[in-house]
Amino acid sequence: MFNPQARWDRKLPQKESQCELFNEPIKMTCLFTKGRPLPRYFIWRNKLYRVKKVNFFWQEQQGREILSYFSLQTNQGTYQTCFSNITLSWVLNRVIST
Amino acid sequence: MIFHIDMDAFFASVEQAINPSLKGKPLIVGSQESKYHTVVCAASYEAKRLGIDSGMPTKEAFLICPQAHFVPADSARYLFVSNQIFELLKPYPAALNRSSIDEFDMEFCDNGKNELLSIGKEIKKSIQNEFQLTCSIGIAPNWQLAKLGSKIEKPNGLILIDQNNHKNLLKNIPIEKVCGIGPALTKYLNELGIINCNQLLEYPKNLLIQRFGKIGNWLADCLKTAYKDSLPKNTTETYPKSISHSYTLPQQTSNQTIIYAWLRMLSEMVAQRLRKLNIESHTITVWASNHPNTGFYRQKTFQAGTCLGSEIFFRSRGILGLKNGKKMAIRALGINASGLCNKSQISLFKKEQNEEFLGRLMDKINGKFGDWTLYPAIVNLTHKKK
Repeated sequence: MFNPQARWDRKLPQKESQCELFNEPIKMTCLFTKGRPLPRYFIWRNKLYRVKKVNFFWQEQQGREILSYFSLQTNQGTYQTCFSNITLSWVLNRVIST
Repeated sequence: MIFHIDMDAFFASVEQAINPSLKGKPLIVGSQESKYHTVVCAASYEAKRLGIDSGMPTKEAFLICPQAHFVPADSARYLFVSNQIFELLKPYPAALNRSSIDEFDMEFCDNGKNELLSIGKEIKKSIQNEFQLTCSIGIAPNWQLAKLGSKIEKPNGLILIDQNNHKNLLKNIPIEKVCGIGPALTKYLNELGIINCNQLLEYPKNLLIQRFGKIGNWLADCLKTAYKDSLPKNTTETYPKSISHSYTLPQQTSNQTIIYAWLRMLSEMVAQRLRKLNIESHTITVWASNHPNTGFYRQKTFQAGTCLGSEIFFRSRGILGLKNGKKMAIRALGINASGLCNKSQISLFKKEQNEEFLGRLMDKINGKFGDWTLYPAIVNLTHKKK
């Protein structure tokens, strides 16, 4: 039977990044519903972004830390943000498209 | 009745859901390494229509469609979504099995065509609503037909194969579409004049058995609606039959140190999973390949089992046999640990005891701070230039 733990690319050293990574802290306003955060607004580089839609949600476990990733649709573009359950902080990982 | 649920262009569809601007465009999902030196892990249906398919070198794919978008694969996303889909299917009153990251099998009671189709529609709708992903479902009395059914109307298809429609549905399907019939078998069947599934159905069983032995029996029955099978029941065994890891190197290399670095990394990945399950392996298989088509595949069984990364590395290095200056250009490498059994006794030797202690300690630290927080130093050479 297929084993979901069979990760094949876990933490392989990345030679060249395919897109610009920011990994910058952001301020996020969100609701917590059904055990999951639902982002509403965020401030990145002193600019306010209103979340129109959560395109996609996924999680990744790194040791004890669970990172919850969100692809967020705003008027300015699509952004990937991440919430850590250990540091309770939000980070903007990358600009997916503008 | 068996339901075979096959996600449509799974990796590519997840990437399109994450980045909606890629929807409707040809998209290639490949390795994180380099977009021109990898193979296509998955292609969107827009790319598939142009002739791009999984397994094709990306260089070739970009020649077909230079404007195709490229996204590096991220297995964490796909595994998470796959797990979520599995959870979504659990409440259904059916036996459930996951046959791969993007394929699920369910076994429902035979409740009549309309009810089965409405269950299929409901599953498709809930996956679409929850993940914005489409899937194709094949419903049939046996797994082989269900799997084939899921391919007939891809993408977003739903087909129930029963005795009323199955001859009509199978008449134009080439036999190589049947799971388990590969290029070699296809060649032999074609020689017998069997080109499509209906011809296989009508071919006399005794002649198939005479020609192919046991496989002939399977070939004669697998596409019949009268042939019913069940999903494998959960066994009492708590560990798999084998554990393996493989990787396609960024570029072909004959540098022994670099090959050893990759081999050590794969050994540690295998060993880590063995330790987690508290099992050990007696048989190690190593495979390697280099472009265009030469390959190496060898296995060896050892009296003493092991769950140590270093020991698996030494064993696989011996199997690969690169000693005495022997050179081998390698593009892809894999290690498989089989002959698994419960770890029953502690080693008599202090050195091995210490190594196992160290391995388990490393697992604990990596479990707390994330995989590859600690790893064998030689692994750093995996990305050394030639």
